Amino acid sequence: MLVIRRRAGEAVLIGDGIEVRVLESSGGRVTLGITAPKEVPILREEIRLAAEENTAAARAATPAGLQRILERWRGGEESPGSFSKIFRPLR
Amino acid sequence: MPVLETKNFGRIEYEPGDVIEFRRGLPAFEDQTEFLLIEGPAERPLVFLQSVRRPELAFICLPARAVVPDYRLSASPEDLEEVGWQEGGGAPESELVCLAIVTVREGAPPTANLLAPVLINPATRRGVQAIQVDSGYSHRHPLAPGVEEGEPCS
Repeated sequence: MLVIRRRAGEAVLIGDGIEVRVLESSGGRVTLGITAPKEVPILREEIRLAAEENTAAARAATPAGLQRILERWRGGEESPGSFSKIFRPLR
Repeated sequence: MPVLETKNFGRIEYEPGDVIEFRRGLPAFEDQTEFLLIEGPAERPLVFLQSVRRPELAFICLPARAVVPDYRLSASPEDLEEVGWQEGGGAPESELVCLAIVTVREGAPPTANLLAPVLINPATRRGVQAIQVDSGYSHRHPLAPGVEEGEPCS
């Protein structure tokens, strides 16, 4: 990883059209100003974490996954037969 | 009455008014904008966020406050606006359904995403997955054994 120290007002340039400028820095937080071509997506890292978790969660939403979650939640063995037969919309 | 043949929960009959609209979709599922919140009597307090358009897509969820009783919601004004929550009526926590999506991976205990809770406004039937930047909550909060009855959804 390339590590660069910058002060408020200074910037780094990435490739041909991306500029990341430190606008403000105080109390352990920095405010960044990013200039980039329209086609370059810019996301907070948390969005990517949420996307990864959602992808894993969608994969886990199976009877086996549900059983493991219920076992953990109830702190014991869950017999597969104890699942609901009928599900209904919550209003 | 519309019927949805889900992969995991069988045949779900619902009314058009039951559908919750996620206008932005969910991260990684941006094209999925309509969901049902469904429950089964044996799985409480777990609830399931079931996609209306993709019968195989669902998420297992727990009320955030069933995972962490003193869970604090710090949703951005944009996210609160997205679900049509009006400031001044009361605390968002008291009016919005706040769910943590639960994941279980091979060889690891289940985790709940407290960093990005799903917010649903029952009054407007709109939902959003709210990224709580700076909240300090983890996207992989280890799930501890909970109370049998759990907390109410909101």
